[in-house]
Amino acid sequence: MVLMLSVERLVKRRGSREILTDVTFRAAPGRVTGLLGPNGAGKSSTLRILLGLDRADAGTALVDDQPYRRLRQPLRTVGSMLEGSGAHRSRTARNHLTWMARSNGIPIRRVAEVLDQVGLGAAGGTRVGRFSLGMCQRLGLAAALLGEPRALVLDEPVNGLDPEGIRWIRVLLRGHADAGGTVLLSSHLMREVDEIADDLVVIAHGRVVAAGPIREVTAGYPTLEDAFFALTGPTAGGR
Amino acid sequence: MIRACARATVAELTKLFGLPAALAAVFGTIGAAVAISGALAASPVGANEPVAVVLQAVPYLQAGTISLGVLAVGTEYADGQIHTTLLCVPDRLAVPAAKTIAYLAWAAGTVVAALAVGLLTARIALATRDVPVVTDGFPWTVVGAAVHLALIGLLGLAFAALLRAVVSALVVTLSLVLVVSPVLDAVTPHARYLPDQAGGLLYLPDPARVLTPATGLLVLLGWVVVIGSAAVTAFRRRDA
Amino acid sequence: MTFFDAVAAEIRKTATLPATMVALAVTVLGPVAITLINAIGVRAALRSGRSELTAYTSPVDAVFSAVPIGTVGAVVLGVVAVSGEYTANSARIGGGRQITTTLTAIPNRLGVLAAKAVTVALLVAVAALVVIPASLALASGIVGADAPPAPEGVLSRAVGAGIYWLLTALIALAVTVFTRNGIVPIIVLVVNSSLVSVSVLLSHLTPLARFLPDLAGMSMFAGDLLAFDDALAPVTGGLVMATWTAGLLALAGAVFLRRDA
Repeated sequence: MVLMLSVERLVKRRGSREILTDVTFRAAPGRVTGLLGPNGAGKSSTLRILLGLDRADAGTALVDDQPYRRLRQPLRTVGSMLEGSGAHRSRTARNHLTWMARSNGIPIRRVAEVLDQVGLGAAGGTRVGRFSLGMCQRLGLAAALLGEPRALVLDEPVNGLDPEGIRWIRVLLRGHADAGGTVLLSSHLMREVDEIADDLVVIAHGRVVAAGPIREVTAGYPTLEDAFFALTGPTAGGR
Repeated sequence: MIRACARATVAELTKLFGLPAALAAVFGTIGAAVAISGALAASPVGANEPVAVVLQAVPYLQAGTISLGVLAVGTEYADGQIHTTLLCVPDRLAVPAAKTIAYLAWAAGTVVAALAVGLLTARIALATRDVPVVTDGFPWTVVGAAVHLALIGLLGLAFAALLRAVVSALVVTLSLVLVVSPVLDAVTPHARYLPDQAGGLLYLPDPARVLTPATGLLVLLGWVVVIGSAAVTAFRRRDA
Repeated sequence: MTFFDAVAAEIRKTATLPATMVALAVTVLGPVAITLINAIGVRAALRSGRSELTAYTSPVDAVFSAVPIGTVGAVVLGVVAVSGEYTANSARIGGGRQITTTLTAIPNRLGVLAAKAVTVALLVAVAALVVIPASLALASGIVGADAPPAPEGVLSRAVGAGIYWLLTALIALAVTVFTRNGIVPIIVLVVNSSLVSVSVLLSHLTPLARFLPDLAGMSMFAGDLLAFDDALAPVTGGLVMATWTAGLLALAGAVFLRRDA
């Protein structure tokens, strides 16, 4: 069964400032889609609207044909990770994943499984406040994988990971997409996106400035980095 | 819908169990019940009857259930946990409902244990002073005190949901209940409509007989409902 | 860096915290608001000739019974001055704690603590200088000609209330250095700010309770409002409370000096 993430003409205002303007793109099953843009471009806002945390002023963001807020057991459909662990610092990692599992009717054995999978098997009883940035990131990934979801939505997943962790997540995401899953990740790190993504959505100042398979977006530029600066720089216009 | 709410409630119960501060609030309340009942029963000017002793300790125990209620909701707003909660349970009504039920379950256990242990302590302390213990029938006032304690903590929970922070919710609720209320009680009869004094009629007689225990309970519930609905309305509208 | 610079830095840091602003507002507006309600209640009782309706009939007591709400503000001021240093930033912005920055900027730890204490003391003193005279004026303005003759010692009680707030804020600061977290000191000290505190309860058990910092200090301003009998004399009480404060601050200094940030 395939699962499409689609964002259609999204508009979001904060006060009088428009932080997203007509943002439209899709993340298709079997592919890794990279949402690329400089800091403050609107990547996180887009993902937060897709995940039902923030409301859009106009437009739709759908998981298959439904908004996230209508999903019955969302963790079984979309696994997601925002920046930070998302766990109160005084909890243990195991307690955090256990309450998440209970809220979606996920078997409790999954908690130990995902902790092992992300390399935190020995740290399940440690309070999250004692975790390093990299460990928090791994806990966030464990939470995303908990419900064996078909789609993964990850905000800056490689932040704070060591080189070994970055390689591990690359293999993990590739495997997820090759098995028919959908992966949407945001990043401002071009090299990582270049190596992981099949499709690219470049966003700058709240607008999509380029979207498509990575080779098409970077066609005409020597590297992704050149393409990125040309597309998002102060003189760039939409293509 | 019912199953989703049940799952959310089980998750909230698990969440409270994993919060060391919530466990500290529970055991702190029970410990305070022992210490205060013991002190009151041992004091020569105190009451000479276990139920009366425990009822005198109730105003202090309010701090315990208020802390529990504030922590249950206020800690969501530290470390971005509220995002995780809403990713797990996107329904903006199911989350407050599940929180309320989970809090009430924990609070009920806490106050029943605290009042029972307090009664026992008072009985022992009075016995050591050779005060004859009189018991006449089932102490319904203690049940009223338990209901009051659970609901006053629910007021703390509602304030925490409105203010989205542990410390400010604690300051507001504790000052209202423990500082402002006794101060105003000295000057105006309208103080009886403050949440703690209205709820207090569940276990204390009202000499003025303006409110009955039932109407007092309604006034306290009214406070909880008004502040709780303001919090839920804001929660549904604003971005997480 | 001189001590003066450290104090200037602390004032800037503390005074711009939103929590400090809220605490100052509570310290100032809380007693004024409660004084207003108290004074209206007293006036109503006096005019109707039923003075038994209120616990007191003097506009002065309408002010001093409102002191505990200002104490809450002082407690919060003392607590946030320290707990703000230990609150981790949201994990989304790195999860760092300000204490690291503070101690790298000013490595002299006792200097940091002293600067914090001076800052909190200054803020509370300014608040007290504004709010107590304002409340007294408000209360006598409202109760007006109906008031019974003013009791003696209003000035010394007013000064006492200000000192009580100041010392309470410093005790809150010292206790928060031990706990490194604001929740426990807030619960304990707010509960004990009330005129029916746990200390009053203890006073039924042992006369030694009057030497507890809050009961000793309340004798500086409470007069007949204090619900217990053998209170210390105001000056003695103030000295006892000041000794507690100095002792707790010294202990906090020792802990702060030895502990890893």
